[in-house]
Amino acid sequence: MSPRTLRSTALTTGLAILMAVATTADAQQFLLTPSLASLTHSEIGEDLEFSGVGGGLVASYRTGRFGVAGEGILGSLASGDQAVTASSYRVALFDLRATYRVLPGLDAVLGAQSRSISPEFAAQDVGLIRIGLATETALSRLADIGVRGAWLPYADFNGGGEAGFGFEVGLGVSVGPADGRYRALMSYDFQRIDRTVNGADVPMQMMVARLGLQVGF
Amino acid sequence: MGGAVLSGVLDFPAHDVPFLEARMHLRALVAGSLSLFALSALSAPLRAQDSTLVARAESAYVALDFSEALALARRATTSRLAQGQMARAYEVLAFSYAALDSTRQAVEAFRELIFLAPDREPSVERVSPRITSLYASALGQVLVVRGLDLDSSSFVGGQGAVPVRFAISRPASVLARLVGGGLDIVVDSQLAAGSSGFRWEALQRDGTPVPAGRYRILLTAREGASEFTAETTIDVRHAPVDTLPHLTSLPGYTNLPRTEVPPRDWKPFGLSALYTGLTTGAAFALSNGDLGNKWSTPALAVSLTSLTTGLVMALRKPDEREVPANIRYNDLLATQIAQRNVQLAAENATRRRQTALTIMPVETAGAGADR
Repeated sequence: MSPRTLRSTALTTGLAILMAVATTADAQQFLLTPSLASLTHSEIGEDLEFSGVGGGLVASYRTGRFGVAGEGILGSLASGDQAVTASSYRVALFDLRATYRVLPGLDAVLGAQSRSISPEFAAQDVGLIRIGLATETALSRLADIGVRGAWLPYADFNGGGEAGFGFEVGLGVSVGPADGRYRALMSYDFQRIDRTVNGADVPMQMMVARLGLQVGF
Repeated sequence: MGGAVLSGVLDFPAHDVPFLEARMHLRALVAGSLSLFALSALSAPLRAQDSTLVARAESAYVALDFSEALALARRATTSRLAQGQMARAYEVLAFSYAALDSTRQAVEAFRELIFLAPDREPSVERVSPRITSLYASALGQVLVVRGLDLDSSSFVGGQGAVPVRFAISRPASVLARLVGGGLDIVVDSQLAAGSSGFRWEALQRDGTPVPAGRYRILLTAREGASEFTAETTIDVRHAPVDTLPHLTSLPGYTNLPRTEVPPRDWKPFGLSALYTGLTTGAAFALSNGDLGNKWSTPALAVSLTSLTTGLVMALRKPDEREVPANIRYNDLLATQIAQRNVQLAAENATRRRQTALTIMPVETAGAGADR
């Protein structure tokens, strides 16, 4: 399955779940979070460490124990090293998470992510699936903190190769009025994938940091 | 002076009922109303003259001139006097006979006195034991109802009663009736001896309260051929029964605050430090140093923000939080109040259909006898 196929499948599935849940739920919460994103992406070695900024949007919906969130980020990354083949590229990242509350404050997460690089092969297009846990706790009525961690059991690359160990962790904090309608949000997700190509290690890691405004409906 | 002294000694207040009416009631054989009207025109000046006879008889008795007292009292008993004056005349007559040791005549005079004023008797503290003994002897020979009385009383119709008291001189069957306003209801029947009484619920035969108005309670005692009727007049008044106000709280119980401000603690900072440390530590542990470390700057910025947020939230005044125990207590209290108000509503619905009765004695009037 190519990353583009995985991306379209994940998006379609996510939208279907989002619509199905939204039309049947009673106690509902819908959040929309436009954000500025800081992106860092590295492959193989320090020479191929790219960083840049972008913009994104997260839409999440929760009803009862179930939740679903979709995120899209478009960014442009560049390398300070002019000796590399391509000094910059654009990335389109789409992410989908479905959650189920297993304990108060603790969600099981099943998700998928797709990253597309342009121009092609400037970096690896990646499609992956995650299984993890996420928790969110109120520090007070004005602030929440959330942590998530996920194992990446499957990843696919347009340049071929196999995914070994893959894991990601994330931290987020939001602050705003007690009614929860508006929240300033700051978060990051760090992802590591140990890719091998023909037995050679070609690891990659990516970090997405966000500064956004969360609006509740 | 003498009359006043005698009245004071015997403690007999005056009466206003004309003697002729009393005689009609006593013997039930008096002439008809035409002759009553004819006599009543002449009665006022005559009564003034006759009442002086009683006063003069009392003065003669006080002066120990018993023969004169007897003569004047006899003349007074044959004249037209108010019931109270007539009772005083028989009293002087009885006392004088007793003083002259004419026992039989004294007892007869006392019997007349008892029929006229059954509730009055010589005070044992002020008259001789002989007189008291003769009065008791006379009382034992007649059938009278004495001390017919009831207190003012208020109660809800069907839920209370007014006690009626009386005493009877000899064992007899007693029938009590309520008469007035078109009603003639037997309210009690019993065999009585000495002090007795009954409770009157002020209800009609169908169980509804008697209508408001003025009524007489007639108490007729019968023993063989003897019969005596005493009566008292009462007023019956109606009023709506007060309804009960609905409750907004239970006495002795108050709502507890739903929320409380907890004491300040460092939990927010502790949580943020824990979460931030775990996540950032994991990120550094996962990172591959060969791939560069540009990623760490934004991650550390987020981590620092998280720590700062936790610190600020720990230092600020804690948020009010709900107290589940208090909420459950308040809910229970509200439930109790609601249940009580349902009961009150039902009680008020019943009360609105009820009538509060007030029974008040108007006067206690004379007696009739059939000897």
